[in-house]
This record gives sequence, C-alpha cells and structure tokens, in this order.
Amino acid sequence: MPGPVWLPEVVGDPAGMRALASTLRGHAATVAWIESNCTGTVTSMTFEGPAATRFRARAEDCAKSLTSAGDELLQLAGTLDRAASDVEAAQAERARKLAEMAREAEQARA
Amino acid sequence: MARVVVNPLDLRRGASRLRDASKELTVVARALAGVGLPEMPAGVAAHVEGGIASARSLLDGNAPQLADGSVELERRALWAEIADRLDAGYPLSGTQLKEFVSWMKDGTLLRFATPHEAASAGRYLGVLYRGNFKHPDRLIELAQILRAGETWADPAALREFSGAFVESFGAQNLVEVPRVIQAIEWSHVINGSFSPQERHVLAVVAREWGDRDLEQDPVDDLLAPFAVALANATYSGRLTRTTEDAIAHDEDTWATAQLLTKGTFSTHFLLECFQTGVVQKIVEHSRWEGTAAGLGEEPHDAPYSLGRFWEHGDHEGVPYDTKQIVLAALARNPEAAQLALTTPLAGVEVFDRVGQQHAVTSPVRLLYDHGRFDDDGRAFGSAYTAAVDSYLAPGTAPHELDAGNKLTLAVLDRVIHGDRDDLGGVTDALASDLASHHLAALHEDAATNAATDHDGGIAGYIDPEVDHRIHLSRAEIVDTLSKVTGRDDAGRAFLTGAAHYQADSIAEGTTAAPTFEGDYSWAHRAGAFDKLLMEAGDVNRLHDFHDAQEQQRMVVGFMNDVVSLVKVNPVAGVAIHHGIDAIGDSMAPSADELMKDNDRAHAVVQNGLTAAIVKGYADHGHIDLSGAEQRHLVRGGSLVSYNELDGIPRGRFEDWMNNDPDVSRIVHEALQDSSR
Repeated sequence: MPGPVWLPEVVGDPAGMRALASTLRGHAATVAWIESNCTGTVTSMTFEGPAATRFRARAEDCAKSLTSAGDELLQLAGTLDRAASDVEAAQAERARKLAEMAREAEQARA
Repeated sequence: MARVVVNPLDLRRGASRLRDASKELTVVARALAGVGLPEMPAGVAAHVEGGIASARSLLDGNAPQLADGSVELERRALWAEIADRLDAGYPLSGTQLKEFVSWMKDGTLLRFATPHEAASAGRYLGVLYRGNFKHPDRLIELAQILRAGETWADPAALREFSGAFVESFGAQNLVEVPRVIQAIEWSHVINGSFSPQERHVLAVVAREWGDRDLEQDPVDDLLAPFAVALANATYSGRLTRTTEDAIAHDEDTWATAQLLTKGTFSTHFLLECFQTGVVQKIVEHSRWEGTAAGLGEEPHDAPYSLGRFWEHGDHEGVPYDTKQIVLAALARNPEAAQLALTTPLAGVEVFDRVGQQHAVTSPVRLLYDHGRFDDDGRAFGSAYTAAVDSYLAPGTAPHELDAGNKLTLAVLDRVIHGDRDDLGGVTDALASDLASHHLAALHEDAATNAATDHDGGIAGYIDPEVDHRIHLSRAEIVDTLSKVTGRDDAGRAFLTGAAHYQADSIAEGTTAAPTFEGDYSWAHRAGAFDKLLMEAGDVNRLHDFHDAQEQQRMVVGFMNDVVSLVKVNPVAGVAIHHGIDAIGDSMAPSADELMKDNDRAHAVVQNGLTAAIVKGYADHGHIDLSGAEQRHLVRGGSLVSYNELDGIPRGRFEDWMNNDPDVSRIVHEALQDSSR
C-alpha cells in the first residue's frame, strides 16, 4: 500500500519579502535624498576659510557614510526580491510534485 | 593669513537644513529598528537582519554628526554677525545678546571660536558682568559660562578668552568674587548675626540671596571657574603685570588666596602671592605673637570658609589659612616653588616672643620657624617636594642640582635643629626627598667621617667644586634618620626606598667572584648606614621585640627587607611596601625571633647584612651550596631567604653562614668592610 503524500515545506513568505524590499527601497530613497540635500546645502554655502575646509571634509565623510547606508539598503532589497522569486519557484515546484505524487498514489490505489 | 569669507544667512539656512536632515535620519533609523521581518529562508534572514542593523548603525552615527554640524554653522554665523561689533566695542542687539549668553553658557560659542573671537568674547563678557556680578544670579550665570568655556574651548582659544576676560572684568572685581560666593553660601549665618561682620563680608549680597537654597557647589561650581580663568590668564602670559600685581597685592588676602585654589598660575603671579599671602602673613602673625602679645586680638578674616557650610557637600571646604592655599598653588608650578623657597628674602623682619625683631633671609627658615599652619605643614611639604623633585630630576644641570641640594639641606637643617613638633608634613616631604634623591649620599657619608660645620651651623654642606650632592656628618645622619623614622608613613616610605637601594647595591656588589683586591666599599657603606639607622631608631637598647616602639619595629623590619629584596636578575617585581609593612603584621614574629636569637641588637644588623651578602653571592653562583643543602636551606636550587626563617631553621642558617668554610672564604672580604 503506498505511503502518505508528503514533501518538506519550503520556508519563506515571498509577498512579505517583496514588501520588505519595497520598504527598504523607500528608506534608501529617503537617505539618498537627505544625503543629496546635505551635500547641496554644504556646497552652496558662502563659507570659506580653514574652518570651512574642515567642515566640508567632515560633511563629505558623512555623505559617503550615508551613501554607503543607502547602497546597503538597496542591495538588501535586491537580495530580498531574488530570494522571494526563488522561494516562490521552490514552493510552486513543491506543489507540482505533490500533485504528481497524489496522482500516482491514486493510480496505485485504483 | 587664510582668507575667511562667511555669509551668516547661508550658514543659518544650512544649519536649519542639517538639523532637519538629522531629525529625518533619526526617523529612518528608528523605522529600520522596528521593521518586521517576514518568514525567510534561514540564510537570507541572517543576511537581511545583519544588513539592516549595519545600515541603521551608519544612520545612527551620522544623525548626531549632522546635528553637530548644524550647531557649528549657527555659532559661526553668529560669530560672523557679531565679530566686528565686539571688536568695535558696540553692544549686541537683543537677539544677538540672547544667543551670545545662551551659547556661551553651553560652551558651544567658544567651541567654535578662533583665538581672536575668543578674546573678543572674553572682553565682552567682562563688560557684561562687571557691573552686576554682585547679584547672586548673575554671578552664578557667569560661573556657568566660564566653566562651559573651560570645558569646550580649545587651549589656544581658552588662553585668549581667559586673559581678555580677566582684564576686562577687572582685578578688583575678580578679587570680590570669592566674597560674593561667601555671602551666598553663608547667608543664613550672616543674615542671622547681630554682631558686626568683618569689613570684607558682603552683607548686602547675603541679604539679596536671603534664605534660598544654593544648588551649585560653592567651590567646584562657582569659585573654580574664576580660579581657572585667572590661572589660564596668568600662566599663558595674557594678563598685564599691572592686573596680576593688583590681584596679588589686594589687601583682601583671603579673597586673593581663594582664587588660587584651582589651576596652574604663572611664576611671577605666584611669587607675588607668596610675598603677600605667606611671607607677610607670617611676619604679621609674629608681630601679634611678639610685641602685641596680650595687648589685643590679632585681626582675622571672617571664619566663613568656602564650601564648609554648603549643605549638599562634604563640608571640607577651602582651607581657612591663606598660606596653605598659596603653598598648594606653588606645588602646582615647580618653577615658582623653586624660586619661592630658595630666593633670599629681602627686608623681612620677624618678631620673637619678647618683641625683638630679627631679619630672616631664608624662606625655609621663615616658614619652618615662624609659620603657623593648620595642616601639619603638608602644603609647605608639597611645595618643597615640587621644587626639589624638579631641581633633582635626572638630567638636570649641575647648578640646578646644587640648588636642589641646598634646598634639601635647608629643610633638613630645620627638621633636625628646628623647634617644631607640629610640622610632620614637612618631615614627610623630607623623607620622600631623601629616599628619592639622596640615598647614595647618605650611605657614602655614613661610611666616611665627613667633616661638619662648613657653613657655620647649618646642617650639612655641598661642595660643587668636588661633587653635586649633599654631605652630612654621622651625627646629622643619625638625627635625620631619627626624625624620619619617627613618622609612621614617612619612615616606612623612606626605609622601603633605602632597603631597595641597599639590596640593589648588594646584588650588584656580589656579581663578581670575591678576590683579595676587590672593592667592597659597597658592603662598608651598607654596614655603616645600618649602624647609624639602628642608633637613630634606638634599637640598640631593645631586648624584646614585643616592647618595641613603632620606630624600632620599622628599623628592625628594614633589615628583613634588605635580605628579602636582594634579588639577582631580575630585581624588579618586588612589592614596594611589602617588607616594611609586613613587619608590623605578619613579619613581626619573624623579627621577634630575630631579636631573641640575637640578644644584642647590633647582631641584628650583622646577621641581617651578612645574610643579604651571602644571598647575593649564593644567587650569583659564587658559593658552594652543598653545606646549605645538608641543612635543608636550599629550595628549588636557590638559597632560602634568611628573613623567611625562624626558630631552628634560622639557627641552621646562621650556623652554616657563620661556620661553613666556603661561605667564610667568599664573604670574608665584604664582611670585613661591612663591619669596619
């Protein structure tokens, strides 16, 4: 007599993962906007002299750091999107196999 | 000079944007912290979680940076707006003044000031407050501003700021600041008193303050900022001599001294304060003790010491005696301490008990013989330590060494010949000086019959033509050691240093295998010093350790220490205080045994020193230890320490040490010298 039809679960919530990716993209956009706004502000000020040079150097470091944070968020979003697709595909494949196995079991019983 | 162009409006607009950006970054960082993670494959979840944390950390780190940048732009904008007005001496507008005071109070305006701007701020601040600082709330505000500036300004800006502030605020006003603080702190007492106050007490300030509770610490929060401002101003040379002298010579010497409680002051200023706050005070006091004795009460300041009444503090407060405060300030500037304690006094005449005037030219003699101190002479001792440590530091020029040695002898002379038993702090400082700088001289002179009285009665002498050290007779060494070991802490510190010195000499002297022609003067010096030490501690008359006074215990303990400290490669790593301290505690029975076994005290010296020398030679491998092994005196291949033994094992050690032919052969020459 054939055994029960079973395959291990594929862990993952593709919709949730895509939603998170979208959220992270949104935050990355905000960070990029802040970075651009700060850089624009600092560049356009009439502020010259040794203190201004030091200030701009610090502002540049800050901008690089913000860019890096934004990039990191975008990469994570990309990773999440790709992982969501993989999970989705694996889940579909599992469903297909389960259906096939169920059919075979049915035929065997008949 | 770098070109500086600033548009204040641009900077203020930029500041506003950066402040907004900082807030927005904080919002994003918080949102990331609270983001919910959906179900994901394990590897992806870990990666995403780590990535979000990393991005959040970057944002968290940058939000304060942007906020700080915004503060900088705003402060620099204000500087751009007001710099010309301040330079020209024009008053600030209402908004500018509000921002100026507010940002001076939190230190941010000085934090972003150039030295020139800082000087302008100091000058303006002086103008702002010099007319109203006697109102308690204004004084508290000014103290906060000074304190914030001292916390945040860079050193160059702070120097300029402090100098300009003190000049602008005014010497007379600055000297009145401690009186305002005094009136605030002691208002309850001053307002409740029916008798007239000492004339400097500001009763009107006390009345204005009323019975309000003072939140600020009168010393650390109110007095210290002014003291530090004055210190910075004088030490950086930004203050005119006129202003320095006006403060130093103000007739309210109590108030001037209060301003010396914190900070490092210029040498010139301190020397002036030394004259008014110490030398003249001692002379005045002698006058009342002499001619005027019994004719009236010596004038004194109001007994309202700062910090002593304030209910939230420890009530310790600033010393009442101005001499102590000035001497403590000298200790923070070694150059000033040197000059104050070594420059001959001119025109100083003190009164003796019968009203006769005597000229005194030696500062040390004036302070030691005529100064009355409430602190056991500790501040005097600290100033002396600062001076002598600086004079006798390694690598100093010969004339500096001579000056330092002269100072040591001046103090030593008063300690052994002076008639004071209330200046233990000075004896402690002498002990520290001798242990740090003069152990070689003391050992050398103990072993030679040094000539005495080169200079008509003052203890010891120096002879720069021959060497750059102090010279003392044996009698003077005994007197000195007696005084030093008569003080618990000072005696222990000194003897610990001496034990290390002697142990090191023995370890070095026993390096080479002994020969008939060898130089064993090191042993002679050690033996001679130890004998004088025994004499100073009156140990020769001691027959039972249990009856020993602390001084005698210390001296007997010294011998134990020397034995235990003889270390051959490496000497370092021995706990400094262990041996001496242990004598009073765990080592006492051992010392007791030592005394029992050596019924004559001088045998303590001989056995202890012999054991130290034997240990040195044994550890250097010059003694055949087979005899010691037979007597179970060898542990781990090394000779055990004599001082660790008692009873029968100690007897076995002495038997081996005194009778083994190989030991005798090796140590003979050194022992001959040590007991010479």
